Amino acid sequence: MTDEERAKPKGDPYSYRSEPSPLAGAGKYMGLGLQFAGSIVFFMFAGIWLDKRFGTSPVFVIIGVFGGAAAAFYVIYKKLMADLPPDERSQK
Amino acid sequence: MKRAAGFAALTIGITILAAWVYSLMFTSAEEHRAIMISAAIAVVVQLAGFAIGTLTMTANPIAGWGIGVLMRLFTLVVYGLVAVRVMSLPPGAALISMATFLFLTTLVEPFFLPAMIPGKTSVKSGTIALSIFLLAFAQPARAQVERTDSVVSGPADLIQQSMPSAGQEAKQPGAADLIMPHITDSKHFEVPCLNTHLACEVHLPTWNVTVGGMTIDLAPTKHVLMMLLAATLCCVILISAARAQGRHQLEGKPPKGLANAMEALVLYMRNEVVLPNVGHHGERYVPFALTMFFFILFMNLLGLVPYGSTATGNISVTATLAIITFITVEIAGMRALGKGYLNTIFYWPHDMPIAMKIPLTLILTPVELIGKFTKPFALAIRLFANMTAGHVIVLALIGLIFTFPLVVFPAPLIMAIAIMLLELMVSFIQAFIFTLLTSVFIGLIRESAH
Repeated sequence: MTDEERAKPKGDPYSYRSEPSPLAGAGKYMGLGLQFAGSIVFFMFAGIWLDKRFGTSPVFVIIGVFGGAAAAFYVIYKKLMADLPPDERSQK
Repeated sequence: MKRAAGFAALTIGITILAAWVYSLMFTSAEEHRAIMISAAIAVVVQLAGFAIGTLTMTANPIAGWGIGVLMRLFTLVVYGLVAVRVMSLPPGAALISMATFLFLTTLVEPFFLPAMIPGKTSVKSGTIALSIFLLAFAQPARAQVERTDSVVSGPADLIQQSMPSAGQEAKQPGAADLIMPHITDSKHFEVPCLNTHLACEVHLPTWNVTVGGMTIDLAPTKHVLMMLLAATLCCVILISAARAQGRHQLEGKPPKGLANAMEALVLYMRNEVVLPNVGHHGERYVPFALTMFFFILFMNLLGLVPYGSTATGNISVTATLAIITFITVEIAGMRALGKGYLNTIFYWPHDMPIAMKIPLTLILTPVELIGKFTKPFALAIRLFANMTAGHVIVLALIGLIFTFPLVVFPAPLIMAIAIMLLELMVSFIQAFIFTLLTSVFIGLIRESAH
């Protein structure tokens, strides 16, 4: 609780907490797992389509699966790093 | 008078435009005639509704609004039941065009009505109620699966009686499907009545409409009825609570009873859930989040009432809610970020040479987009799975009563009651989680500017 909030009169129905709830922090990362899976599946299907197109099975499927996983990992890594405070970020 | 003239002109304009669009979709002469008749009736009803709204708006906006809505609903029902039968118009063209005319012109009506004066709360609850009605009318496209194959058997005079629909096939022994017919959508529902089963079955009509070679059944199903019931309950309870609250506020006293309970719920959701998570100026998202909360809560709770069923146990309903949430989140993002909204779609690294930027953008943009869509997807699945699973457990436990010798019935009964109580809690928790995540997502996209 901040000082500002303590200063507010008790029982004022329109006052509210200015800090997001702890669950909100979790909500941020809730979609990450599905995003990871979704990216792999998307790039896998893209690979299948390309393989059919050029008759190069299974080259693009393999590239797609690993590339999708790598891309998703990169995006998630970026997101997690952006949430760290700057001094910790330099240590990692 | 000026307002009335403006509204009349706009109403006629909108109606003609919509009628023209429909005349392109429906081709036969019969259907054209139906559209013309609908348009004429809609214009008259809308002007009458506007007159009532103007007269009552300064004194009692909620009453005026309620009368207007009821009048339009009544018109639609009477038109559907009587006029279509008597004048033998094609029902699809007539009803769809009528509903569209009324809906579109009702949307512009508030701009011409005189300003609402009384307490803010009643106006806000009016907004909530209106959005709930719109939500409920936004029927999700749904698969009409008639379960004619449900087979009932076994020790089961009781089961047979409780499911008269499966009666004709009930003779043959086999597995009893007590669960699926109760949790899936259907074209009939049960009402309490005084016969041996204590339930009468009411069959719902079929309104087949062919649009562009595709036949869609637009008639309400059990879950649609439950949604409308939830919406009506929301309106009645919230509006009466808001009015009681306003009345007590004038007297300088806190409200009592239901109004106090509703105030506690609303204030908790507003102060602890929506505002802290949405961030600065989050007040404008409070009505939306509260609408979602109460609508989902009432749908969840209606599933626990005898003869009721859970509309949120239908993936179409939860998907529709999630899509509405998704659109709201994206619009909130567009409003907060402006041009920067594109950054939430396209991945554009700033600290790299251009040769790296282009391939990275090409590869990572799909990943970002998938991240956008997984959130509402998870919302829809979470609500649907939680509500369905609870009901499956309760029904399975009730089924155990009939599977075992009758002596052991207390054990499953106690378990079923315990799970029922758990379900009561889950109803609240899931409505809460949906609202919490909605506000978290709105907050996330708004804050991604910096």
